[in-house]
Amino acid sequence: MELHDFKKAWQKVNADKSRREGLDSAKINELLRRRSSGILSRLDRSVKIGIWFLVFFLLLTLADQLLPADLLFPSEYRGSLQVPKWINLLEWVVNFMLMLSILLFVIRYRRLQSKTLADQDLRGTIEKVLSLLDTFKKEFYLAVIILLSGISLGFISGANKGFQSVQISQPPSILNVAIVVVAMLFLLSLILGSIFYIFHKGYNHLFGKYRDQLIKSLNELQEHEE
Amino acid sequence: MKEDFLRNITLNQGIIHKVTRIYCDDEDDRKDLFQEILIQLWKSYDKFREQSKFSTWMYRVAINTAITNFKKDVKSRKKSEIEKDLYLLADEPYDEEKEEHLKLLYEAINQLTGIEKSITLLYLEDKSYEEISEITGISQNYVRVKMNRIKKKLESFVKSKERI
Repeated sequence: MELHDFKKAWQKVNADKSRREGLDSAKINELLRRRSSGILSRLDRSVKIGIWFLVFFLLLTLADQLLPADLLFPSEYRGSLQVPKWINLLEWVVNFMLMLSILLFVIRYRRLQSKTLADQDLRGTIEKVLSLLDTFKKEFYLAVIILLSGISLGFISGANKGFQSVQISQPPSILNVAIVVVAMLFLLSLILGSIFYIFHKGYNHLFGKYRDQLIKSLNELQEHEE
Repeated sequence: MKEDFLRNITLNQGIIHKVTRIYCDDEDDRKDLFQEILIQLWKSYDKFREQSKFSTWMYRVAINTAITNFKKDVKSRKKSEIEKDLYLLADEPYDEEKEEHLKLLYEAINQLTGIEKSITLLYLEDKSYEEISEITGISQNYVRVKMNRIKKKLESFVKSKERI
C-alpha cells in the first residue's frame, strides 16, 4: 500500500462521514454555549479561578487584620485572641507577598492573551500554553504556601500562648522547653511536609503528564532548527 | 458577528471533523475536541482579519488546539469500540479491501507524533508545502524533511504489517 492509497482511503472516509456528521448552525451555537471540558478551556478557567481565590483570601486576611475585633468576634473571645506583635508582622509580610503575586499573575495572564491561544503558529501556541501552565503552577503552589503559612502561624501562635500560660503557673526548665520546642517543630514539619506532598502529587497527577507532552512537541519542533 | 461566524463554521465544519478524526481514537474524545476547537475558533474570531483564507485560519486553530490537547491513557479504552467506530462505513456495502485500507491508514497514523499527524493530515488534504507551512508556521524546508520521515515511517509500518 502506497501513500496515494492512503490518500484515496482518507478522501473516501471523509466524503462518507461528512454526509452523516454535518451539524446545523443551531447545534454549533449550542455547543459554543456549553462549558467545555477541553484542556485549554479548563486551564484558562483554572488560572482565572486561582486569581479570584487569591484575591478572596487576601481580602479575608486583610479584613481579619484591619477590622476592629469588636466587629468580628464575640466579647468573651477577644482577650484570648490577642496575638503577639511579631506574629502580626509575619502576617503582614505574607499579605504583602500575596498582593505582589496576584498583581504579577494578572499582568502575566493579560500578556498571554489566552483568548487567542490557538491563533498563532504551532510553536507560539505550545509556548503560550506552557506559560499558562506555568502561571497556574505558581498560583497553585502559592495557594499551598499560603495554606501552610496559615497553619504554621496558627500553630506557633497556639504554642506561644500555651508556653506563656505554663510559664506563669510553674516556670519550666530550659531542657524541658528545648524538648517541647524540638518535638513541636518536628510535628509541625511532619504536618506541613505531608500536606505539601499531597498537593504536589495532586498537581503532577493533573498536569505533569500534560506538560511533558507539550515539551516533547516543542522539542520536536526545535530539533530541526538545531 | 456571531451569525457570520456560525455561517462560516457551518460551511467549513468538515475541517474540524477531519482534525478530530486524525487526533482522536474514540467518539467521546472526538466530541470533546470538536467542542474545544469550536470554542477556540470563536474566542479568536475577532482576530481573524482575512489576511489568510478562512479555511487556512480554521486549519491553524483546529490543529493547534488538537496538538495541545491532552492525550488520555489509551490503555483504559476498549479497543473493540475504537475499531468499530473508526473502520466501518455503515451506510455502504462491506468492501474488504477498502476496510483494510482504512484500518491500515488509522493504525499507521496512530504511530505518528502530534506534529507529524498535522503534516500528514494536510498532505492527505492535498495541501502544498507552502500551504502546510502557512498553516503550521513551520518552515517549508522542515515540512519537506518531516514529510520524508513520515513517508519512511508509514512505509516501514505497512511493510511490517504485510509481513505479518
